[in-house]
Amino acid sequence: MIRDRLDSSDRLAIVVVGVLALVPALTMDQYVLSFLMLLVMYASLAVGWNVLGGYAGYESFGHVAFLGVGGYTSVWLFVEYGLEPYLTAPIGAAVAGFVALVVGYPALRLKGPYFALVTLVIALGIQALVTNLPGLDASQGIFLPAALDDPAHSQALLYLLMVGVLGVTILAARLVERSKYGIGLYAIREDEAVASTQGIDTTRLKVGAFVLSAALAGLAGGIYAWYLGYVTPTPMFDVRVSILVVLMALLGGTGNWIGPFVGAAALRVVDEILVLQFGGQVAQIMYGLVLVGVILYLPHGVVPWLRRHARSRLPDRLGGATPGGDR
Amino acid sequence: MGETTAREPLLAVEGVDFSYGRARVLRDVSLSVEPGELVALLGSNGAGKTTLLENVSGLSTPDSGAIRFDGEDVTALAANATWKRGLVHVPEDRKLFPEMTIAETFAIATPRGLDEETVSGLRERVFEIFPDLESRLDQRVGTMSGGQQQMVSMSRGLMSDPDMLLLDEPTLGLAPDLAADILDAIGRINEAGTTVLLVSQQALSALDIADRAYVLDNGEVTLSGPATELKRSDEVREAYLGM
Repeated sequence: MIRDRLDSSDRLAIVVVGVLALVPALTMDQYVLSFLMLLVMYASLAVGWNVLGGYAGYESFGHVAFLGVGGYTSVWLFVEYGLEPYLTAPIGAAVAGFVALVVGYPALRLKGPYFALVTLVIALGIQALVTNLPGLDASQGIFLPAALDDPAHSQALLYLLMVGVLGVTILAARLVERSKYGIGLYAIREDEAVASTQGIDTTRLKVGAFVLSAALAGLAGGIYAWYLGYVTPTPMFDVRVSILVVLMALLGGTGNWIGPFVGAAALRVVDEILVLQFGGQVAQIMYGLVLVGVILYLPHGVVPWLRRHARSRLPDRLGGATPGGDR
Repeated sequence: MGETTAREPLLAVEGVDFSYGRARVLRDVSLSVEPGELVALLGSNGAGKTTLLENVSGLSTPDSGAIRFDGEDVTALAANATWKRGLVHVPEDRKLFPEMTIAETFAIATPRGLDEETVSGLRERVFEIFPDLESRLDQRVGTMSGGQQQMVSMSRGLMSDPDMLLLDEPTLGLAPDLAADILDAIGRINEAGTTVLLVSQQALSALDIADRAYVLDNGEVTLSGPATELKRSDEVREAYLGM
């Protein structure tokens, strides 16, 4: 029975993805869909980032590079071969994964701030490379036609595709969380030397997690590029996206997929409310203050705090979802 | 053929030197452990015992010298590679993952590809030595006492189905009766066929269960021999037993 194999975390994932997928059936409002599109994309990026950054504790600050690689691959395949986004996005994911494989081996020899810094530099390097690739004319920007003739339906279709990306990302995260592989990543996060004395090939596991994380970002990038309709290096390789993704995961809590999802949703909502209420610059300052406050007072993230709070009131109602628990 | 060849030791450390930066920690260290033996490696704090174990298990690589395990040169192998060959390091301070349950701790240590019967056999062997753990499989390791955690740490090593265990200070910080239980368990693990290299500052109790011992002082082997002889040695008694 499948039901027997699904735990509360799996059921929550099905509900979340199902509800998000139902939205276009309820409203075709452009504002709602564009707001949710970004929320779902950031949630995908944060949950995917967490596979390496949360489970294994290797916090990359260059995650946007793989969004960009996936996006540009997707666009290039359209320009050159006229392929549709649902074909080009998976290829973009594969290319992003391959790039992560190439850069992952040397980068993952470093730890902590050194790894973070190197991933940031790698992202800037990849951006420069893509921008200056002869024949791609990336620096000029590339226009894309709408996925469908009707713009509203086109937006809804791309939104649904992004919800699909989120579903795939959560599924991948759950498979990792529930596997011996996930326990191995947790062991690496806790003590890499001890993990290796338990027979864990730490290099293989870390590179595998990096490749998976990058491929998921590449998949999101493939759809995001089509959603933007006009692709330039600035949104596709914006370093602020990398930082935001890290903050989202840390805000929610990195122990399982739920934390980064909640972090992404919360930050998107807070950002939107602040911008609407106070305008751009004031919103940015308040946004920063909110983040500093959360990091200072909830260093393990919002979800673990909520879980502990709920446990103290309702013992045994909520169980831990990962072998490693929450950070 | 008619020729007899000397039996090769299971572990042979040959002329190992190791430095942390400019600090020389190991100086021309050589030792050997025969299959089935329980050998103690004694010495005061800072003598280089843990560093030597890390060199042997692959957590660090000697500057010079060689380490052979079961006839194979493992000097440059990483820890996960020596683990695959059956050389399993049980580190100092237990180094468990506190959020994991015992079952998860065992799962991570069990070699891949073993059939269910073999894994179940490994578990039974662990529970024969540490019966307290059987009812605690779903308990998080971080919630257990120091003695129980030491049992889990050694059990994790046993779940790897080792040919040889490298035990680093397994009794450190434990109450005397718990330390005695742990030493008794080490003796039984060895009697069941697992070769053991036991690192300890508590020389007297280690010599009680060891076949042979080496004494490491300031990175050099200064004494070696059968445990019974070392226990009687005035030098050992004065320097390490405080007698």
